[in-house]
Amino acid sequence: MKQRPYLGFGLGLRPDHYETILEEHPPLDWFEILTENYLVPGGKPLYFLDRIRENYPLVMHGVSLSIGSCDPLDKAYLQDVKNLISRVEPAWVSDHLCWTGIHDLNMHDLLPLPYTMEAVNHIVSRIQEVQDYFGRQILIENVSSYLTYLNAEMEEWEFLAEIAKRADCLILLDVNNIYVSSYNHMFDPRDYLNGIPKDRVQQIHLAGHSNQGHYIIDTHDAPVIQPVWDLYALTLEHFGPISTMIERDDNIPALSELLKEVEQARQIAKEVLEVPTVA
Amino acid sequence: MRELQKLQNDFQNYLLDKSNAIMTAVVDIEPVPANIRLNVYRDGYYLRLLEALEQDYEVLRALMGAEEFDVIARDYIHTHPSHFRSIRWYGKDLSFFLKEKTNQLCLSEMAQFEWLLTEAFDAAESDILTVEDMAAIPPKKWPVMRFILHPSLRQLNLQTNAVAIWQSFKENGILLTPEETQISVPWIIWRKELDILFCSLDPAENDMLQTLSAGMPFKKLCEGLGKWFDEEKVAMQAALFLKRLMLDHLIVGVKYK
Repeated sequence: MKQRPYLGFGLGLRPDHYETILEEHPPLDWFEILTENYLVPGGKPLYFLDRIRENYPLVMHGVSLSIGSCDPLDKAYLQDVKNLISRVEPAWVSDHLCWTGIHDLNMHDLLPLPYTMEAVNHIVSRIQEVQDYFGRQILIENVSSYLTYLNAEMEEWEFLAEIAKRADCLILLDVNNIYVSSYNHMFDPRDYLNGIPKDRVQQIHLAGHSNQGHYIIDTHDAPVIQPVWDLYALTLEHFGPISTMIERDDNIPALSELLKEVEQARQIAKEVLEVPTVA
Repeated sequence: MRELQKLQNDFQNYLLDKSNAIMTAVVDIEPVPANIRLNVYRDGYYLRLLEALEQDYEVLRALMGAEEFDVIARDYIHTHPSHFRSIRWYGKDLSFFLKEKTNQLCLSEMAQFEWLLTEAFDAAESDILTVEDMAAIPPKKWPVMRFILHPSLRQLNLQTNAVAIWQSFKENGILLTPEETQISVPWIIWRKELDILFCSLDPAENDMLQTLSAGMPFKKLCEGLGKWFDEEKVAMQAALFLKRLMLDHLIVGVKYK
């Protein structure tokens, strides 16, 4: 099996923490940036991005690729992302296995795809086109979902695995999203982990969510809960060491709070396996 | 791809409140029926756009009151589906929308002012022209030189005290009463290094800036100033104005054609 690159333990970079990061140089191995936040001509976002990049490895995480949409790929967007790749020189680039709109509209959400061969074929060719354009493999992330389509022909993990194999792309495994979807659709998250090809998983997301009783919404506005930490431990047992980060998008606390969660991930990894040292 | 396309079309129409056709494509299982599951997405769509508007228009929202802002925002969201790849640009047309929807000039002017602040925030970078750069330009070239202004510069004319309201709210949390002014006052907004700055211009300064913005040469700038100053003072006033613009990082270069 090919050795996957390993960055260690990171955090989603958010504007609230820019100055603290530059002043305090927190003990993080890497940051993930939200691609769209930096597709701007200038100003503070790019100023801080460049300075933080001087001290930390970065990976890029997009929300607008809309890889599953029936609209044509947005070439202007791809060019802008490619330009940002040249500026940032990220360790890798990811986006979501979803669609965000059609007819040139953007719903600004990670909308669910039907798990059908028609969708697999459509998405595989688009990922290949994106990878050819960027000249590198991309990672696709499993999203949380709240509904199931009647025309589903396979399980979500089969859908993800099939696409990753046929498109020859990598996987960003969001452990919280697996937990959320397993709750919403009543499946065993271990089945999900068992269905994912080990050699494709390159990054893990951990996040919090909002439990509405009969269903969970993936809000990224709270700390990671214990069942998700437990699932993370299972994930590492199954896949081995994988670069892991905490993803908080809303209700953002002080950096020190998030560092505690990063540390918790580090400790779990230490307990579950021998964590390699980041060079 | 026909089936996938139809599904996405129906789903999007549900989010936009146009059709319920997608309901028949979604598994309906207790205890969470299909419409509740779909509404997680529909509510999320509205709430995300509302949040984007609230972030961009903090003082406008305070001025209108949360309830009235919510009504206007809902109307805007209903009539303005997003074409933007980033939600950061979604509120771009709110000031135009308010101009059509309300007869309170201060609201649309506040929206315009707050939006232009966001535009200046992440406008393009540029090197700046310094006073020393300017002094190095041979005098014979001065009459034909044209000035390139900073890409973050935004210009607007306001007929209300929108800026005073904005400042008072930001600095003290106090909302001043909106007032209309007799004449329209020109304002500029720009970014100096990482700081967003704004100021009003007097009529002569505004004339000069309009001349520079139109790409006219220095010679024309001086001619225009004849309207405001005695002939012997024109060159000095033009030089002083240019120096001020340079110190504020508003001039980024010169060209001669």
